[in-house]
Amino acid sequence: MKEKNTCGCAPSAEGISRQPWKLGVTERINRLRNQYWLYSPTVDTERAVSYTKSYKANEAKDACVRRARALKDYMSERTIAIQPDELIVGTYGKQPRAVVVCPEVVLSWWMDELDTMSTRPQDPYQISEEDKAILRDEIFPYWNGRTMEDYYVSNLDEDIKSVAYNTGIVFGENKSQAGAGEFSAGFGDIVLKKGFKAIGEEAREKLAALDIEDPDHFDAQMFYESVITASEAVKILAYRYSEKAAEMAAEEKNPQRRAELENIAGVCARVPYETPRTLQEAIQAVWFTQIMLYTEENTAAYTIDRVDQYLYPFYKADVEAGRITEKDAQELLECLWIKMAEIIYAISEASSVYYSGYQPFHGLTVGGIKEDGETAVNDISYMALQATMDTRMHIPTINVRVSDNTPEEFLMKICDLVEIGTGQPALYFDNVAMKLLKRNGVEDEDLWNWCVAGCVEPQIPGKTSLWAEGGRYSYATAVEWALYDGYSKILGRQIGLKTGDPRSFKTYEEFEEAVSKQLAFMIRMACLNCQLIERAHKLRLPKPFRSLCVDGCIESGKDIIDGGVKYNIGPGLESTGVADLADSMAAVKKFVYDEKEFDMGTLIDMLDADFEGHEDFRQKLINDAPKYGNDDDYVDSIARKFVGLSCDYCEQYKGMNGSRFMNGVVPVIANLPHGLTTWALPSGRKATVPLADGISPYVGYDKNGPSSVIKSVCKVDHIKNGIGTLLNIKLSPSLIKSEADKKNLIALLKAEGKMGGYHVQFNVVSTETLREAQKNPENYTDLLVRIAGYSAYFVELRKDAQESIIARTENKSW
Amino acid sequence: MVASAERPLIFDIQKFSVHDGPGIRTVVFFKGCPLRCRWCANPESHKYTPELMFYPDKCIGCGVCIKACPNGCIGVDHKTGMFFDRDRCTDCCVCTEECYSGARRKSGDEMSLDDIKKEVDKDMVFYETSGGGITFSGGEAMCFPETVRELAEYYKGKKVTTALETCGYVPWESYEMVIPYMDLVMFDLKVMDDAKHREYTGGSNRLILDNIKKLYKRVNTVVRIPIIPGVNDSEKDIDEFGRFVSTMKDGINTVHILPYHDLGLSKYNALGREYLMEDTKAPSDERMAEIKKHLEGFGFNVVTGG
Repeated sequence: MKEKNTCGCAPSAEGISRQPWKLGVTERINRLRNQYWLYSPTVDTERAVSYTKSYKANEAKDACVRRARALKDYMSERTIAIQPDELIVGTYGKQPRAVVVCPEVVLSWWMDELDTMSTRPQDPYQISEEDKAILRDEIFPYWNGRTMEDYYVSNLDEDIKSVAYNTGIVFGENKSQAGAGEFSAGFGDIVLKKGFKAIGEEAREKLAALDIEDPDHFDAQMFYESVITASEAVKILAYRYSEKAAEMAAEEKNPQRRAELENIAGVCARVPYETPRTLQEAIQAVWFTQIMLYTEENTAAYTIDRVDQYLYPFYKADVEAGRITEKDAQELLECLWIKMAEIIYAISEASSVYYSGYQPFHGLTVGGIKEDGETAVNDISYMALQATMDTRMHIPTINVRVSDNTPEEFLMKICDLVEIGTGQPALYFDNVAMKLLKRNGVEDEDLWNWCVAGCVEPQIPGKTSLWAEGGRYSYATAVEWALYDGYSKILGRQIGLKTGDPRSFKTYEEFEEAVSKQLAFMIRMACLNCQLIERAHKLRLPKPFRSLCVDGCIESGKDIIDGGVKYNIGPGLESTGVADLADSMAAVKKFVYDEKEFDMGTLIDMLDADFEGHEDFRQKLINDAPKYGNDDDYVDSIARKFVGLSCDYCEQYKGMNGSRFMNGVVPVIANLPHGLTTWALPSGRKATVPLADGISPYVGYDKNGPSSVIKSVCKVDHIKNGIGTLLNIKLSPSLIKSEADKKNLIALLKAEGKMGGYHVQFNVVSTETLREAQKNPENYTDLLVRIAGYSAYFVELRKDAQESIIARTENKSW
Repeated sequence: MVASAERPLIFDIQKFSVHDGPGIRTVVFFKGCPLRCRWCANPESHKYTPELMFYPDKCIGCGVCIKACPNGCIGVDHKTGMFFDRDRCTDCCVCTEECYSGARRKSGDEMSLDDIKKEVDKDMVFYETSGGGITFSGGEAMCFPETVRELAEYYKGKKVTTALETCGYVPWESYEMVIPYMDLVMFDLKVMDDAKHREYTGGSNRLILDNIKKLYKRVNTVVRIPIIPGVNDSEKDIDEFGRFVSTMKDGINTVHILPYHDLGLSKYNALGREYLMEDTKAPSDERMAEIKKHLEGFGFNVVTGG
């Protein structure tokens, strides 16, 4: 199995042996899920060729118009295919799981990796010799020096570059190689309610009303032209699918499938240009919209809003009218689930270590409250969880809002999903999330309708430009730089600030000041770097289709990238390694300053040697200093202080549209690559090994079980982290079997919400993990297993006892 | 039986215990027990005094304990490496203060009531949301009835549920002291035949049976039976349990059956003690299911695993 992604997402199913699937609600779902695996991620140059032709033909036009025309041209000529058994149709590329090339965004890594991408260790892409030749001979010569990334790289300040570009320490280049990401179209309020026809007409009216005597009208004129063209593009896409379905129906021998294809032809003739009338039309409208968004620019984390809220009226009407059964509805949802898993976020080999597992963060949100404050949980909320239990794929990531009035029965259903051990769903506490969003500038009237767009990033669907992942950093780096006066042991050069030789620090406060300055400096560099990338997007990648899916852009005549949308939040920085910082600083405070067991020089000598020959010293650091995750204020207060500082530092900077940068403690799987560039730490962690993920304790350092972990984590101010925080908790499957167990899990959740936590997800550990725990017990000392009448820590048990636990876990009869 | 010296040692405070009473609980383990059940999975709970536990797997061979030990029990033998002469060890536990790796640990700390409360209070929010609370366990917590009473009264006052796990082998007066403050008692029954009970636990069951007969009328009581193959798992044994507990049907309706396991073995090794149950295997799932059915036949709600 692939490395588990720690970012709200189940691991990719790639590599898992694939028995014919049996858990789908119908045989069709099983067949679709089997069919999905016939396609391996394969590079698709069709868009690149089409866009290049269109861009060449429109050299004279503004960037926004060129992009809209290219989108429309591509939709007019792209391959249209419908797979057997599909009820919801449409692929992002030529075929499912296509790796679509967007040459106007980035080409550098494509060219560098043409011959290696099919064999790279993480998430390889298949590519034909023909496609390589197309990219090399047709695409690259035109785009060389003209991509969005080229703009960024050629204008990047040397000082910023030395910290934030290609260092593996501050990971700043992400958005220079992809679309904007972390977005949810307003499906409930805009796409399904108005349809793109009406939105396009609004734009036409606005265009007609412009004052052409005002020389400033040109920006709006070009913008309106671009969105009108984009609205026509989606009509063309859907219409071509309608034609295709009709053609296939005419040739179809099987009467049932013929009827299905005829129905699909009718659905696609209508949506999403016009508004849907049935559940199938609504779901199809969502899917075409997603295809358009991903086509506009390949990226991660375009999520589909609160499905249970906007689909419920269609479902209810269909069922009441006798058009469909509950099972039909479940099947349609599961069709959408499998479609969502088709999206591939095309990334370089370097990025693949951050976003491992073909992970596009393609998700949705259910639960929470309605506008009147009542629980929003309805039949579709349950069906959405069931669809994930039935399909069990790495996508969609399913985010559940838990509020005070969430029904107990729904909470039990959540536990049922947790129990199957896919790491799903991710759970969020409404009261905390809404306070966080209010602090981000969201008006009271919109708070109830928040959803997750990305890993954990909160926003108001259809009203927000978020740009959450403006750069990545690790808290551990600040400690390392303070210990080494800004020198990176791994890079072998000065990178951070000169904060002085720590051997000369007389008090803990002096050390703390140095760490704080390094943190501020790192965040400054990441923010300044991100500002330039934002500018590159503004100049090179306007987003007309995206602008159609939100409130504010049509009204204001401004593209979403120019701040046209109602809420501009962030940009954000995302981080990991809170525990590494807190544990390291607690060890320094305790041993060097409070108890004076050894001096800073001794510590640095040990770190320099990466503890080689000093295992006793390392064990002392591990076992005798307080560790974050155990409900110990000595160290938890350090975590609280520094996460708070990082939020303050971010908020000192502004993005291109005037909103403040925000902090998020969201790791994806960056705790691994950040670990590779981080030297040994006073926490006892050795050089280059993974850091702690997100806001979670360091693996193996939390020894008192999940309640203490949650206590520690909730001491951090989550509301200040405008981009969100992410907590992973491992649970033994034996702790979530009975109804009583599930009630306790619910109680655990309620307590976290009460104490100001934002998010949690549970890894219910499998046999594989227990095996891994046997090999590397030091990383699993917190792993609780159920014995009988009491629980014990797995690694404290003897080998044969462990074997018996593993045996019991496997046969699930315990 | 050991008279309760009211200076309890605590050998563990376990958070997030979810199978020792309702909800999310913190279990306080008191050190010292009047019985010596052969299958005991917590051998460090037997003595009332601190003990050294040594886990050789965790030892990194740094040798700091050699200098620390005042009795010279630890040293280096050039043929066999490091040695530890357990016979001369006085359990002074000085070495545990120096040991970096956690291979040498002291079991049993003196804790004041405030220390215990401070630790247990930390999870208050979880007791509130789950209906959980504090569970007194051991060893035998009832060897320290005054401490248990004070803590139970304190938590009762805070609307936190209180529970007691007990072997029953203590004077009735001790229960009298805590009953008003206890929401639930999980009472162990091990063997019905007194001679066999003496053989396997080191004590008579008369007092135990007398105690439960009085206790269940005063406090919500659950019976817990460890199922030990070859000791108390025959049809006859189960039948005797069933018949005995049936006499208390006016108060007891739940029986927990806990399958034997040998997971405490590493602790015997760590204490340098012999484990007398090496040859005993855990009962099969099928056997546990039969026993469950058998006891259900008496009309009890039977929970496997507890």
